[in-house]
Amino acid sequence: MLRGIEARGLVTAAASAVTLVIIISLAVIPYSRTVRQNIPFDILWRSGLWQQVTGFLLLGFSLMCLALYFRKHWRRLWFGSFSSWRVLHGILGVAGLIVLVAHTGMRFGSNLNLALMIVFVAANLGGALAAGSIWSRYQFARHLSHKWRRRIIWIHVLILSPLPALIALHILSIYYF
Amino acid sequence: MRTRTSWGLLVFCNLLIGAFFIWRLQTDNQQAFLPGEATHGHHQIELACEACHIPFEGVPQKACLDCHAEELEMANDSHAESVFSDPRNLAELELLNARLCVSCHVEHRPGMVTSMGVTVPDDHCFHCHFDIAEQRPTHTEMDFNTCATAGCHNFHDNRALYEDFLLEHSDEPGVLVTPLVSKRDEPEALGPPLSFGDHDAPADREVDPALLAEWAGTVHARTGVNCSDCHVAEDPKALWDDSPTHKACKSCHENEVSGFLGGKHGMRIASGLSPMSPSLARLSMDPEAMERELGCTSCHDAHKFDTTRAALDSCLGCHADNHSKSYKDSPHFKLWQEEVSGIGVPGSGVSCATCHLPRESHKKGDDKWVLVQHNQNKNLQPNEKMIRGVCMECHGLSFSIDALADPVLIERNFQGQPSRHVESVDMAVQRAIEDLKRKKK
Repeated sequence: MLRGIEARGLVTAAASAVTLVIIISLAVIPYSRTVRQNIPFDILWRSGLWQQVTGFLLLGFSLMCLALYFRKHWRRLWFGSFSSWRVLHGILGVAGLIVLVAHTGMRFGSNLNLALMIVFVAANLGGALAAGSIWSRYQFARHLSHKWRRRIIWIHVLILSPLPALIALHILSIYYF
Repeated sequence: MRTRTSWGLLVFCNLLIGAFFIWRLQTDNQQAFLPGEATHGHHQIELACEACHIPFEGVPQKACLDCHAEELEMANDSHAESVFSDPRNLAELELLNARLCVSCHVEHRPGMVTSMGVTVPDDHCFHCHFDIAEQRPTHTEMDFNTCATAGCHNFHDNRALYEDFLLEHSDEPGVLVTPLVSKRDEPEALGPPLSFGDHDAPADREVDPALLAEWAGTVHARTGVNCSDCHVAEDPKALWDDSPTHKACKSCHENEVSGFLGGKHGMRIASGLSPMSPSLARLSMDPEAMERELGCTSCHDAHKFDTTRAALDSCLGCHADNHSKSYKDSPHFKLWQEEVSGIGVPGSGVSCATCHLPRESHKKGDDKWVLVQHNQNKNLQPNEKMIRGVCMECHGLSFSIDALADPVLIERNFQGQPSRHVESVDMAVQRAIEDLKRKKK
């Protein structure tokens, strides 16, 4: 039963993540050209307070995603099956992308911010591919071998590796400047 | 073991990235942290972070005022901070804190910038002036995003656009009866006139006679300025500097050098960066001029100090945008040629400098002192800043407003007539007539 739920959860998360990554990479939400909006969504990118709210929310989601690693390696310390943790990880990844849209308006910026955005978006794409590879194991008789699934997951982890430093530097730069 | 190695690599990779960026933070080049390109006003100094930012304090209002306070005061700022000190305006301030420059001028957000480096929507006037149509029925059909349309209103500088001024100059012709710019005053002489043989260059220097001849023909020689007065070394132990900088010029031309350092040509030097060069400009520049560097002598020549060249050829030696390239086909250039050749009276010609480095009156005791303003920012954008100090020396107000509101005419460097009419003056006159009628009743 769980396998069915996990498969559906993973494929939904993977498809959503890929869709969001494509949208984020190709489009930009323009700043409003009027102050007479019914819903002043612009405040997300114009107000320092909202930038901090969405930024720290994004940091929170990123840290929660990291919990999957600890669940995997310290299984005695955690509750719930690994499969359900993996689905949750996928959902948090998608939620993180949605908050990323709110935080950046899908603008990549320059230099440090550009590096951070590329790593974050690429890591999510890697995660989506990893989720897809796991889902294929349940779905198809001829699925990717274990070796290849591990390789995809490692690519996901490898892309993620500079993220702690980039996030820390991004936060430092915001308060420094 | 494998997990430990992976963790070790992860930590090492992060420390390496962290170390690189922290090292950049300690150097003069902090480009790695630049989140986006700066506006046209600040892009030259976007790598002089400390010019605006104080570590962990952001951008204080003082940083903006250090460069722009004088300009705002000169402009009789319509939305000065004092206007918002009135407690009755607190509610409006919650919508837009107009006491702080950074509320409307956010840097490094390219997609947010509209015109004039403004980063709030064009209709921001709505916040406070939502009921303007009740006070000014002529504005009923107008949208709030047209308030700052050329020739109507500016947020800060309305010196040429306020009602009384519009009324006062409502009946002026397109070209005034005596279209002449003021004569420029020279600094006081340092001593009696000098000639070729009076030069005081050190004996151990090989002096080019051609340079000496150039100097001997200048106002410098006529006013007693000798070689050693300019070739002053910054190091007190040295007696001579082969390549004096703007600091040497400043001893006699303080106003001009201050203007230069505050303007587009000198703001990089003022911020401790390398001099401005056409290769760093966003405007179109002559490809052959790209490697030049800007200092006083780039335009004025090192020994000739030819102001006629500085007023025109120096500008066109670098600037290659359509406005600049069209100048030599304009009626302004014809007037300039006539003045230079002696056919036209002094002050009748219009060079690049006439409009962009205009002559300004300063008070010196009881006297009027006319100097060249070398800070182009003071009358560049919005271009209505140019009306009183420049255009109205020769043209009527209404014509000036119309001309500056026509971007095609500007690009063609004023060849022809304005293609549209801005109704500002007409509205002021109409309102004055209605007021008069009301009073009579």
